Amino acid sequence: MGPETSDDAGVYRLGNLALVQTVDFFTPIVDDPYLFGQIAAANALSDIYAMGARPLTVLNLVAFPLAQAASGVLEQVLLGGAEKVAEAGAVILGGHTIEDDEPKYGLAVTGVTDPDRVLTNATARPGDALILTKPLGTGIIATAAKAGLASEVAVLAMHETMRALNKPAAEVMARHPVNACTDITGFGFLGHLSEMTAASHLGAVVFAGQIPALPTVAELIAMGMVPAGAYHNREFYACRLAEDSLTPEELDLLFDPQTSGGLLISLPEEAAESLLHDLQGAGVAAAWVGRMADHPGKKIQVRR
Amino acid sequence: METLDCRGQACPRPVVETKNFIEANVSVPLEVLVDNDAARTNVSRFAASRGYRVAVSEGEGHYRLTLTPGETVSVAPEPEIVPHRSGMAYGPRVVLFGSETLGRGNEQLGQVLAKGFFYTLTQADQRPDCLVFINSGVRLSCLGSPVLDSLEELAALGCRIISCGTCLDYFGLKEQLAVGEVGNMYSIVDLLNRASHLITLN
Repeated sequence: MGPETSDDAGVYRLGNLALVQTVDFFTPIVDDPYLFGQIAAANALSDIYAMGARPLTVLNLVAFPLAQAASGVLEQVLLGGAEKVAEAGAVILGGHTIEDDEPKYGLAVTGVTDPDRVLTNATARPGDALILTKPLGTGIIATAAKAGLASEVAVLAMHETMRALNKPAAEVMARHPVNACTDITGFGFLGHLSEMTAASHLGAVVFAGQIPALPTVAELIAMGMVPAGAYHNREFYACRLAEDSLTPEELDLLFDPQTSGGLLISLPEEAAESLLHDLQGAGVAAAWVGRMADHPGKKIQVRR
Repeated sequence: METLDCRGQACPRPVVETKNFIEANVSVPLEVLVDNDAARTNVSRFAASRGYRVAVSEGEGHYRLTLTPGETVSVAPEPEIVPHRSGMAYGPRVVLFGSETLGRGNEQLGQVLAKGFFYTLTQADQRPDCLVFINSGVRLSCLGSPVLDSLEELAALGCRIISCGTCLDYFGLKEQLAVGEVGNMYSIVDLLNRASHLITLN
C-alpha cells in the first residue's frame, strides 16, 4: 500500500507479516523541551496505531543549532521522546542529527501487524458509527497561548492530550470489529473525515454537538484565536460539506488542525456501544460523533 | 483615526496588536489593515467580543477593518496568564504513601479511609502516574491488602506502583508483593526529584 490513498502510513507485506512504516517530525510547539519530545514522539507513533499495528522500532530525526548543543535542551527533547517510545513498548535503534538554526524533532517508526488486520481509511461501510478518541482544540489553544490569552487550565489540558499515546485506544480497537481508522492531525477533524469518506466512496453525518472539545475552546474561537491552518482547511474541504449542513463558518473547531490528535474509528453501529464502554474503561475519553452514510454526492452533513 | 497596519502578519499577531491598542486606548475608534482571510475574521471576532462594531471594506490586496466602540466596550480582559514553565515541570505526578493507614488518630478509621482513598483514585479524572509505598505502606501492595483491587485497577490504567525493597525485607513481605514493582532508595529519590506534583500521605 503506497501514498495514493492518503493513508497514515505505508504498508509492505513480508510473508505473513505486514510491515507498517511512517515518519513525522516538526518544529517546537511548546517551550518545555521534555514535553516537546513527548509530543513529537506521541504524534509520530500515532500513525502506526491508526493502521492497527504495533510499533517495534524507531529512529530519531533531529535538527538542532550547534550553538546550543551544550545547553542540555536536546537531551531533554530526546529524553521526552525516549519515554514515550518506552511507553509504546518500542525500542530506539538509532537516528540522525543535522545542524539547523531551527530545531526539529520526530521519529521514523516501523510497526508490524497481521496483513489481514491492517486498518486503512478506505474500508468504512455505510451505517458505520464514527468514534473519536481525543477532544479537539489543540490548534486554537496553541494560538491563544501565543497571544497570551489562554488560561492555564486550557494549556495544561492541551499538553496532556497532545502527549497522550493512542496506544490504549488502539489496543481496545484491536478487540472490536473495526472497519476503518485514521488519526486526526493537521487537516482537522473534517479534513481527515473527508479523506476517509473519499477513500471509502461514502458520505457521512456528523453530530457537531457530540464533538468533544478542550476547555475554553468556544470562548477562544469567539475571541478570534483560530489558527490560519483552520482557515486553510476550511477553504480546501468546504466543498465536501452537504448543502443542508451547518455552514463552514460555524465549524472552526471541526477544521482546527490538531497536533497528536485522536483516532477516528469507523465500525458497525451495533458494536459501537461496546467499543465506547471498553475505551472509557481504558481511560480514553471517546465520543460517538457521527456515522458513515451512502447518501448521494458522498458529502458530509454536519448537524447541530 | 488611528490605523494599525497588520499586513504581512500571521495569526495571532494581528489580534495581539489590536488587543494591545484597545487596552491602551479605551473606546477609541481604530482601523486595522490585514492582508489575509484568517486575520480578517480573527480580528473582527476579537473586536466584537470586546464590544466593538466592525465594518470591513476591501482594498487592493488588503482588508480595512473599521472598529467603532459600542456602548459596552469591555476594557478589562480577564485572561489567566500562563506562567512560564521550565525544566522538568512535566515530570510524573507521584503519591508517596508512608503508612498502611490514612491519617493519624484512629487506626481503624485510617484503614477505612485508605480503602476509600484508593478506590476514589481509580475514579478520579486526574490520576497519579506513580504510587510509591514506603515503611508500613508496603503492606498495601502485598497479598491480603484491603486495597489490592483498587491498586490493580490503577496499574491497569497505566499507573506505576513502586514498593520500597528495604521495607518489604524489613516486614518479611518480599514474596507477598502482589502488584507493581520493587524500588530501591536510589530510584525512589530519582522519581521524587523528577515529580511535577508530589503528594505525601502518612
